[in-house]
Amino acid sequence: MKTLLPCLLIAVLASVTSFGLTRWIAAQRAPATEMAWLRKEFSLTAAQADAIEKLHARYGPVCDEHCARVMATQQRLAGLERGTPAHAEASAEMARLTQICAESTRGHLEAVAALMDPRQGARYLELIGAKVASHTHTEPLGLR
Amino acid sequence: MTDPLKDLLQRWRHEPSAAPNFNAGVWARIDQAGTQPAVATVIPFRLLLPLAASLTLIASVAAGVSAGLSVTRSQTAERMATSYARTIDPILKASTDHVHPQP
Repeated sequence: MKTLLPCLLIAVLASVTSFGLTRWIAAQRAPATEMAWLRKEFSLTAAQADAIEKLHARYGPVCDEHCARVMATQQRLAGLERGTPAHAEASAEMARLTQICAESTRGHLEAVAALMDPRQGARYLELIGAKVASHTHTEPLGLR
Repeated sequence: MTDPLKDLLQRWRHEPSAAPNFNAGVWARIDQAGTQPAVATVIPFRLLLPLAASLTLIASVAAGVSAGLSVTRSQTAERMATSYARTIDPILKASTDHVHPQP
């Protein structure tokens, strides 16, 4: 009993220290960019990563254009009085844009997933689909 | 009158014959016991406590490292997935840009 307590204390201390050190080291070695994370998280080969990067580069301007339209409509909506025909029209436009963006994002996600290993692709759709679906109130991607 | 059974029991003598190889068998068992160490002598008792303490320490460190890796991995995945989703989703991008306007 005299030696048991110090032993247990040392064990707890060692556990806490190793937990903290591991977290610190792992945080230092975490991927710096989204693409680097994607490559590591979904075990992409060089060819897959290259193809996905090209896909992202092609999709970037489309996404930016949609983003600009959404922001413009949001600003227009903010300046309009609720209940007016103009507000209703802007709201309808916003709903239409949201639908377009959701479909466009869904298409892009599915195209990216198709370039991955099937199991990793399903995991990608589940993980990223949940993030983008949370604001559009649609069902999670890939789980239809 | 005496009991015939009692007389018979008093006269009865049993002289068992010696078991064959009894002596050699006993010595063989003694020799065999001398060559096979008991469990207690494989790990001397005085080393049991340090051994248990070392194993506990190793298990504690392993548990700490494993938990640290697991927590960091899931937090990194969550953070990067959210950040990645913002780069491909116009709605998320617009809401982020709206909150934090680009220069």
